[in-house]
Amino acid sequence: MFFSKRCVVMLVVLTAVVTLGSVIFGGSLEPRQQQMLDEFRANTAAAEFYDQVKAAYDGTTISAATWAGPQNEGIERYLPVFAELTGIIVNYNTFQFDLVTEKVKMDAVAKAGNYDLVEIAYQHLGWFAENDFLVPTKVFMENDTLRSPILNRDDITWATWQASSWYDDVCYGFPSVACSMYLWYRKDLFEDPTEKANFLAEYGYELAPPETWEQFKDIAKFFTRKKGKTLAGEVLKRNVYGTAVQGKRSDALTCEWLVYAWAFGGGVFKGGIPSKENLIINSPGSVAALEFYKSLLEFSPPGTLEYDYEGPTTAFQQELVVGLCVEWNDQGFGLEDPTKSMVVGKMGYGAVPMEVDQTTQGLPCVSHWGGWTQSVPKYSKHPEAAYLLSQWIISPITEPFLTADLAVIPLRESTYSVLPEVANIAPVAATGDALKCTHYRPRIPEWGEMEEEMRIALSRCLIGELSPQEALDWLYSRYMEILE
Amino acid sequence: MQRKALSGLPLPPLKEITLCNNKRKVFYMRRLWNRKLLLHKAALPHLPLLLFMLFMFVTPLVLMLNDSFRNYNYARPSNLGAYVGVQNYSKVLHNSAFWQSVGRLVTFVMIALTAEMVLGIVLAHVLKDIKHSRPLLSILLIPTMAAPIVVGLLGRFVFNNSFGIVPSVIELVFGTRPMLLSVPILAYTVLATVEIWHWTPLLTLIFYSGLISLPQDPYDAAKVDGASFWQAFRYLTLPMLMPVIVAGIIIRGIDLFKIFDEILVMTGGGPGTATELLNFFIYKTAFRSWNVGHASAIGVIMVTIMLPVVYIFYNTIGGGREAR
Repeated sequence: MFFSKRCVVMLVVLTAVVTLGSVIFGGSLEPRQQQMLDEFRANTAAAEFYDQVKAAYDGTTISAATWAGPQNEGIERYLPVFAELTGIIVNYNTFQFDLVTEKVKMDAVAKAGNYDLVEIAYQHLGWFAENDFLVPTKVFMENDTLRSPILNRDDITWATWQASSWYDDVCYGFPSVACSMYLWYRKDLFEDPTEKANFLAEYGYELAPPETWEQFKDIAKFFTRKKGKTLAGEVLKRNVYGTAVQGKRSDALTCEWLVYAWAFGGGVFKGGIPSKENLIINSPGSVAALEFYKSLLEFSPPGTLEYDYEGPTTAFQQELVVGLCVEWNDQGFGLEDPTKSMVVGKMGYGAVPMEVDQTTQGLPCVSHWGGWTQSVPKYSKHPEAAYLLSQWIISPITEPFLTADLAVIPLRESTYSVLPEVANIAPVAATGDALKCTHYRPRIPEWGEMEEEMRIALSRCLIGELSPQEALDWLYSRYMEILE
Repeated sequence: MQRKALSGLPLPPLKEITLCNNKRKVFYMRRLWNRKLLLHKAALPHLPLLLFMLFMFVTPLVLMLNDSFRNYNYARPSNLGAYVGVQNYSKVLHNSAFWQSVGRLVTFVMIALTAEMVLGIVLAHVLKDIKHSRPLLSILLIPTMAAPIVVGLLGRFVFNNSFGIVPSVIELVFGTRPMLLSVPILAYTVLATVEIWHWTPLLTLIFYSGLISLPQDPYDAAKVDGASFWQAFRYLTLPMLMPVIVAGIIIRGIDLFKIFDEILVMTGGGPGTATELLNFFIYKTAFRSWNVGHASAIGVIMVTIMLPVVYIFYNTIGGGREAR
């Protein structure tokens, strides 16, 4: 015999113990999950609604494709509560930024129906809507058996919802992520008396968060220092830099440069209206923005052309960059994480300066919207169950838990009143200001191709293959072809 | 004794054959029938495999061919699926970015293949002359076990300017920290280096197996005639090893033409378009621009170029007939 009798008995016992353990303990909820479940059950209307849902959908299994951001990590944690409430089992798949878009687009094109709920970056919504790949939310909202009594649509921040989930006056889901770009700066160094005095002596004005782009560059230059010099009284053991550019050929590059383009009065389409006539990609404002953007390479770390979203975050965390930069708000949480960052509590977040005449734009500053929506694809096998999941995620009971755990940006007004301390978290507080001056990328179906071409043009400019004017002229001609 | 064909069906007696033309015709038709039957019998056991190959390899090609003549541009969804003739081909062939990516790919394949061949033969020779070389060979094979995506990630970290070990070593030796993934020519070289590092061991193994199976007698004779190492290598090893070398070139050549994962992870096609090789260009066209019609046309062009190249190469340089 290969196995002795004793060995077989032990294996059987071990299997039985593991199975029993998973049955007894595997089904039980963590305290936080239990707390959420109790809150749902304490709400009579919600409890009744979910009892009916459970009767109808118990045992259904759905699949979701989402972006691997902090929000979705939090949602995954609370899915057992959703399963307990509805009886719906969720395979919640998270993918890296580019990959999730590719996967859900491929699923739609193949009409495969692998995913019942998909997370879509707002700039790709037009592609899905124009191809008729999504179910309008109205279809579900008009169904009484699916409408949660606690949804309270008016409580969802309208600007966020509209920017993320609406296309051509049709709603395709609920917002799931509220990202925006703003200014990061080393608050502790900006307040350091020695640094302040030195800056005043060198540039003739006070060291403070910049209000113009010239000030931005002055500050970047001021904090770019060689090894052996001092910074806030300490001798530097390596070179440090004043800013960081997300220069890798990636979507991070286009997102960052667009902030500069808008701030200098340029952009893709005049007034955000997509048409060939409104193309301003090679306008003087856009060219000036690219010239300025390229000039910042001088004050950025040598590896800045390899940076994508995480590049500046890591550089700030390790104090390689000690000045300022333009970055996404969700990356800001990484700076405040003591397990990863050397600059916890040392960072300041603020508005990005606006270079052009503010009256023409009607905005005091510039920011870049980066929201996502959770939508039900047309070929979903369980569309109603998928809608119930998206409705549960945005519910006024679920969101405060997600916010409290992960400090993600709330999508509901009421969350700020439920958790007043959230508003005081630095990255969240600055988001509110940034949202007041948000610009958007185009949402037309062609944007995927246009964005890819923009990556190439910007990257070729940054590596010196083309001048800013040449790069944007080339981009203009490509856009004319694409929009033909 | 009655004559029987291999199929078991009786053939007419030989003397009847000469009787008249009609009977001769009958004979030849029967012989043909028997041959066909024989062919069918031989083919029958292979039928499942043939069907599998038809389904797995031919069907996608046919579908791709079909898509290449249709409008499948999801970025402009009107008239989706409409027949557009050779419009996709025309647009692709007039696209300078396409030709540039082809040029970059061909150069890349030639550089990487040459380096892998030379290194592979040298390493195989070295290993052949070392006693107990098997553990060394096993260690050498480790990179080939890694998935291309993992190798890409590894390359991204190793050559990263901020924390990569290679820039650190170069800085230590030369006092300057190179931007290996930010300068076009360097990024291209790094990509080729990673590919060479990844797959040279495979060629080493192939050549090593070939070398140890070569007969010893010609070498002994050459030694008696006073041939140098180089002469023995040039006039004995290379010709005798040629079928193995050609097999290696074909295997690696085809593989190199498919390079994609490393580009996606390490450089994303950049900086600029320095590492945007043909496969990445197809991927970008299909899954970023969502112009599946164009991407299919490029795929068909690529297959059309590749098939004759492999065929000619195999039959002229490799002595394909002998190998068969």
